[in-house]
Amino acid sequence: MTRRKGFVAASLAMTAAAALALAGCSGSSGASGGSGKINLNYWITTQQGPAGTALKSMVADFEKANPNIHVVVTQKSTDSLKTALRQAAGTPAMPDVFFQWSGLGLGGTYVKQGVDLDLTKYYKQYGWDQRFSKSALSSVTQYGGYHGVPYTANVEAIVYNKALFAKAGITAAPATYDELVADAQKLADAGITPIEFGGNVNWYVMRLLDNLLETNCGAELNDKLTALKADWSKETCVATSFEDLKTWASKYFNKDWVSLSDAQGQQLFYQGKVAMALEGDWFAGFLDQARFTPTTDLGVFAFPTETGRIYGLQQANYISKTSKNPDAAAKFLDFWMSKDEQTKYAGSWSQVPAVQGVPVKDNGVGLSQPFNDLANKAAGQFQNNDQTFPLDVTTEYWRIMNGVATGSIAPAEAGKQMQSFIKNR
Amino acid sequence: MSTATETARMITIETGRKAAGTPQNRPRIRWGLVGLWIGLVISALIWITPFLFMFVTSVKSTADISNNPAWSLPTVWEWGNYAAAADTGQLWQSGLNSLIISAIKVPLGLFISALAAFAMSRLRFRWQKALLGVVAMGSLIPVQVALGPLFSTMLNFGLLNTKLGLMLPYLAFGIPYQIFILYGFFKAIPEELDEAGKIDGANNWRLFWQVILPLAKPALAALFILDFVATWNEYPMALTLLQTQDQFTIPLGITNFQTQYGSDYGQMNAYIIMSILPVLIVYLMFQRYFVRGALAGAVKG
Amino acid sequence: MTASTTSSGRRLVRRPGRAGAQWRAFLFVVPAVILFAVFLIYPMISTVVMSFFKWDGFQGSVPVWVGIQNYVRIFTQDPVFWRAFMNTVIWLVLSLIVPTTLGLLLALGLNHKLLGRNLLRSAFYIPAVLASIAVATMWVWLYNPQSGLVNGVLRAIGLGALAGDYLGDQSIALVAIFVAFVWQTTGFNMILFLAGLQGVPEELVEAAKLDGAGRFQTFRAVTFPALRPTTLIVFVLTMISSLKVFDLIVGMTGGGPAQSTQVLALWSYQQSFSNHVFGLGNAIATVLFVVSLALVVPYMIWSLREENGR
Repeated sequence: MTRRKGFVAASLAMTAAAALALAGCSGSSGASGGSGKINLNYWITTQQGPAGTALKSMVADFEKANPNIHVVVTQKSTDSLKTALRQAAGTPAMPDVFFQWSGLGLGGTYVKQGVDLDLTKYYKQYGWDQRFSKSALSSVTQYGGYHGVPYTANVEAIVYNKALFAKAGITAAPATYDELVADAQKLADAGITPIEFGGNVNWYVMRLLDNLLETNCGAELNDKLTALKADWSKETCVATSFEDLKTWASKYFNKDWVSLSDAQGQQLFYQGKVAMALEGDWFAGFLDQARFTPTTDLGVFAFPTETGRIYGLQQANYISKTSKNPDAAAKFLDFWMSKDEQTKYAGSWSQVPAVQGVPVKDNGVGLSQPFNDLANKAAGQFQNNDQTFPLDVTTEYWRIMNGVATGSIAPAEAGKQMQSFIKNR
Repeated sequence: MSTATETARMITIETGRKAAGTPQNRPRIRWGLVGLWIGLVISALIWITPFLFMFVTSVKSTADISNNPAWSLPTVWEWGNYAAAADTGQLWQSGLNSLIISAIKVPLGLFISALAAFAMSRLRFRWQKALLGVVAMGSLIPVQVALGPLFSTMLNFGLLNTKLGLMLPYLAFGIPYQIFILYGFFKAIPEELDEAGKIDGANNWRLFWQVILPLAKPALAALFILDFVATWNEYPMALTLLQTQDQFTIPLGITNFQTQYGSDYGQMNAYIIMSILPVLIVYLMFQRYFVRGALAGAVKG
Repeated sequence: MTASTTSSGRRLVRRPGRAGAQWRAFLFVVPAVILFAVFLIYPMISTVVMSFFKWDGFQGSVPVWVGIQNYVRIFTQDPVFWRAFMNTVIWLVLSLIVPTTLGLLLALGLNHKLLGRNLLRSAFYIPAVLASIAVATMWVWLYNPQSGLVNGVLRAIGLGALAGDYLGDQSIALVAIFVAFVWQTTGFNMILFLAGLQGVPEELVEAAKLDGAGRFQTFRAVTFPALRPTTLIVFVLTMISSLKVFDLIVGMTGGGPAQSTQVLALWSYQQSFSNHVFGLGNAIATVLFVVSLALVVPYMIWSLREENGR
């Protein structure tokens, strides 16, 4: 009896000890290991291909130059990053540096909540004002002060297959929206799928709808609508845009696009089965990885919104207010976005350099310069709506968009549903 | 039900089976059985087709996956996908984490549930029925409901991103249905054994540890499999409570293959196959308890 | 005989130190109760309470009291809620019918002594051992309109007309996901029914056959009644897990297309963790919980009464 009791007591004690030991070997963030070594926690979305390798390499470069700083990179999927940041904001669990798209609905919410550090002092210290391109800089100054350090300033346009266009009898890229539609019809008539999308990810088809809104409503009204300051149910350009969306989806999209992922849609372009793709400058990297040939068939033109603005988005890295090592964090970002490092890894993270004076390095597909030309020519920029909208509005926007595109919501109804949602929130 | 009747029944079943098996009795049924067997085999083959498909995909290169039909054999056998997947998904680190968590949580959870089920089925105390009801209600709570408060709680205890912080809610969520099943099982064990034990001078603890628990071995084994599998595969809570790569469990690794821009299917399938092997092994080790109708006692409860 | 003594509890001989026995008994349940209270009860209460507030999920922001506004919103103004509710009900009904019946049939079939019986049983059960997120990923690939197996097979056997984008079609996407669910869970039901079948009195089956009863009559008169406790467990477990369905749907369609495969557990999660509108998310979770209670509790009480009555 005593032996049994002893055994039980021992096993319970062991379990307790094991539990405590495990509590000890946690991956708790921010704790400094060893003598004076600083741990910087950095959260970013999952990086793939050259972007991922470049990131690892750059971090290694930084750690070699700064042996007392160790950067711990954690990659999360897009959605879990957003959720994790929100949960950790304002708590010790928050990382020192985090990645976000800089739009109002994403990075902007952290700024509004006072989660990130205003970096004015570092901009002065490192002279970042002079370092970044105009569009990159606008993404961090849009909230007053300086919030975040630019990471990319991407532009999005239509990448097209010149050979397929030629087959359909199209000789030049369309300059107006009507020409674009006419070209799509010519392609369809020639038995070529005009454009590809993957409906599974919502933000892909959204690019088309965003551009349609810009085309039909013009720059000023579009900005008002996306700022939720104009009435979606009353503006006729809204209904027109949804009508157009329905037309595109039923006549010019790839077959069975609804459940495809973006990658699966893009496959069709790589295989030369589809003539157009509404993509960002990062697509050059994808085409290279997919070994698209011949590269001379590739071209890019801006979506003909006829407002002169280019479609694009910016990404930035933010330093959190609760970080114990803001100076080290700023040093890290300064290193990453230095002209030298950016030149060394040119083309890995973006085809359009965010840092001035960094040469455009073509990654082998021949699209980098054309994308840069579009960026430089543009009179301004309008963003992806999932950047500008608050998150719940984005969800509803996507639901309505998918409903119209698949035919379950009438285009005339779309604006009304959007407005009533905005009104009720 | 007394043990005597039980035993009689078991014997009758065995004999009955043997009798039914002898060929000279019912030749008609043999044809039926053959037809049944064929039907079952075909169904089973169809049932495991997804696995075969996954395996074939896991050894294909990206080019094969996009260009050739689904079931076609790979032109190049990309065994490298497995190594690449292990790297991208941090398989060894995640595997170790999952293993530690499961190896500690599962036996501990069963122990705690058995303690409670024992008390509720045999010891008389107030609120007994109410407690059972509350426990049953607890199993209705969806995990998602608890995520926000769990995060805050773990943060306050300083247990965020730790294995202990993950194990505590795992234990809590496993308790309701384990108690439910063990309660039924314990209830079926005759009271006479208790009486005999108490006459011998055993206290409750000895009764539990030396008499009741050994009798419950089949149910415990079955619950072990179920709980191990559930713990290994758990996703929402791990997603919320674990923050850095080095603490991730295996299911979280799957998200590594879904980047902002696309997914690598060959590697992903390889990763999934590698991730299910440990669970398969545990299942194969303990599956004879299932076959023997381990849950019979609880099910009749 | 023994059952009645236990449940009444009063007719047993008093032991010395009854209060001590109470206290010792209490000790047995303490670990379970503590874990249960802190990690199950507390979050649930917190959710219900917070469903009367408006909160955006930031630790630093203060929740704002809004009374029943969140409930009004989800019942009358949320374009997705009722679809999610309907889908949850449809899912529940289908779960109670299809994988359960299929599991029973498989159990009946695999109860005979057949060659490779264990192997066959394992084949059907193994999908239950996979992580739901893995199952979801597999089946998304299977349903791929161009390179998936489902369409590939349909085209190969000449049913190409039926091939299509199953997960992209609003009217049948939910059913398509359900097929994956059946694949995943039928094996588990089969195991439970197999266990239950071990308890069917063989002598009664023999007697019925000697009386000239056909297969089906034997089943109806002898086997099925003996399976009652098993059926109860299968039904309760099915009800509970189908009301909570989440992993498969989030993995296969994310609730789409156009929120047509949305269910309550997923919509609640998305409102809280994707849209960061925690008040609405908590309200939906509370509704789900109440509905679950309303369905499961009466059923369990009824069947427990049945069992005690025997």
